[in-house]
Amino acid sequence: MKKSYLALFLIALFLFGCVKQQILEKPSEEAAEDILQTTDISEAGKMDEELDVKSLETLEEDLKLIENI
Amino acid sequence: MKSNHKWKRKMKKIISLLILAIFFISILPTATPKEEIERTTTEAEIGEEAEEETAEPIKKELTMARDFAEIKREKLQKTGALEEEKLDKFRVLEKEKLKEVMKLNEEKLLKLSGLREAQIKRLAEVKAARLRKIAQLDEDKISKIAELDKRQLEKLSSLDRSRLNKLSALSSEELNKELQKIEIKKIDPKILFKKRIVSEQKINKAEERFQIAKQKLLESKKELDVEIRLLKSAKENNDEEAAKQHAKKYLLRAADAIINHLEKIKNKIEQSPDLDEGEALELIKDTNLKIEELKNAKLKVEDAQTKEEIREAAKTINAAWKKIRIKSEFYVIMLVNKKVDGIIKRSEQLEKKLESILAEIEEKNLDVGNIDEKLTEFSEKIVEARTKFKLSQEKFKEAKSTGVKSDIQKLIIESKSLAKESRTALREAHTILKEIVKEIKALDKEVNFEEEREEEQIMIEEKEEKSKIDVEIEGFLDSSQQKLINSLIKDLNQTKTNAGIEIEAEIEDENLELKKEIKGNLTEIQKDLVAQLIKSFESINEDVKIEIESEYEVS
Repeated sequence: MKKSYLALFLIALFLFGCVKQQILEKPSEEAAEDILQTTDISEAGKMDEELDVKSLETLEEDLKLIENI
Repeated sequence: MKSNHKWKRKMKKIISLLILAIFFISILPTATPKEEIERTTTEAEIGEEAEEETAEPIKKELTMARDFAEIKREKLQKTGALEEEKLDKFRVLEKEKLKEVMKLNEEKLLKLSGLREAQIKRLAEVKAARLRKIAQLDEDKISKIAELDKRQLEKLSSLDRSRLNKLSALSSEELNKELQKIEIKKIDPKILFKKRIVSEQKINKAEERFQIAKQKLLESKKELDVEIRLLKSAKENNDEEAAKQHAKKYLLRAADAIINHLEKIKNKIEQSPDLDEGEALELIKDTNLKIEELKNAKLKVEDAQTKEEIREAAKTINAAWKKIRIKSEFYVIMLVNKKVDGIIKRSEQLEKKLESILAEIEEKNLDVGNIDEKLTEFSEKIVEARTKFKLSQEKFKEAKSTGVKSDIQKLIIESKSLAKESRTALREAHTILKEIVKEIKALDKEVNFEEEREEEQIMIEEKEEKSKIDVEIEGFLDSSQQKLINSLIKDLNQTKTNAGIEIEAEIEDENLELKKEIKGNLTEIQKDLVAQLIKSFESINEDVKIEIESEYEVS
């Protein structure tokens, strides 16, 4: 019984060590992806389009019409 | 028998404990005690120093010769095609410098071997990744660079490839002049690029509100189209009551549309990590004031009964809209440009990281020629983006200091166009970057992209005369009023006057209210220009506010 507990304990310790190594080493893939993401300009262009005032182009003219109603 | 059994049990215990110990050791970090060794070595060295005083220079020479022979042999073994005599020039270098220089490939070593010994010694002071970058240039340029003093060399070698190539083509005199404008700063890359931290939760909530405002704006726009059509139809049919009703509805929907447009911008400001907290709060405060102004205008519309009251309400909303439209364009340019600025800075630091990575890969005798070319292209695109961005910022600043409507619109278009060109250059740079990363990973799977190299902790800044005159004009001016503003700005700049000038002209119930606040000591000319400007506001039709902040410091 004692032997089996000891064996289980040792296996658990070994697995813990393996998992810890995995967590500590951030895969290079993720870091490379990070680089590409943080230098991606597409969001700036999208923001420019989304906040454009084109859809209210005729507002001034129409309001002028009502000013002279 | 019994004792045998006992002994076996004991052995098993010992073995189990040993295995346990091995696991513990493999998890825990280890450190070798250096201190004691160093102390003993130092004590021995002190004893030896006295004896070797007279033999010091000879010993040093012999050591250098021995080190050189060893390192040269290693290099020749790795790169068989290199001629031995070409490497002899490098014997003047001490061991550590020599090791760094020998990390360069054949082609670069051949170029450097053409230099004089004094030039080689000077260049060897530069860090490996930077030396590699210099050694890519033509021999003439390398020779010119090798004549620079330590400080100038430090600055030049810190530049990106594109600027390094451009400046090294200048004459020695021009090069020295340009280098004087350059400053090297130590930075923490982690905090450089984000002006503030915005939580994921805050971003998501702001994005949700943005989408709601976007949807509401679309709905308001549809209703506006319907109401204006019905209004025009009622006018044609001389149906005054219907015309009044549709006019009122239009005005309410117009106010809603403008409010939702501002809400969209406000929520993008809230999400942006590229603004610092102060900037974000100021912009949000300003946006909220404008939203409040429109909500009050809506109340005016709801209370309006007569044609005259409806006309007045329309006038109020139109006046607000004309100013808000320009202001909102400014906010958008600011938001987008902050993002672009951040990406340009990140790309510049990234170039440094990639230089270091290429130096590391080349040390392993792997051919990075193709990647080098791509990195040069990347560098050139970033410089192009930076140039266009600076021009865009200048146009934007001009737009903010202008009160003439047609000029503002023209400058906004020019600023946006240049910003778009900057973004195109960044997009092209990003495409090249993807190829670079892909090729690096294919060439050397062990490359660590995450590691922060020393080079990334340095930022290059170009010193410029920091004349800070910030002008903000809300409302519109005619050309004569604008001339007065321009003359005032010019004079503040010429006399380097630190001042704060605020002039506000508000029309309330057909009465003009003028407010003036001046901080600092204006010259007589400046006081006169301010007086002329205030007098010119006596005949304005709409509210105007001018803020001028002048802070002049020479760097």
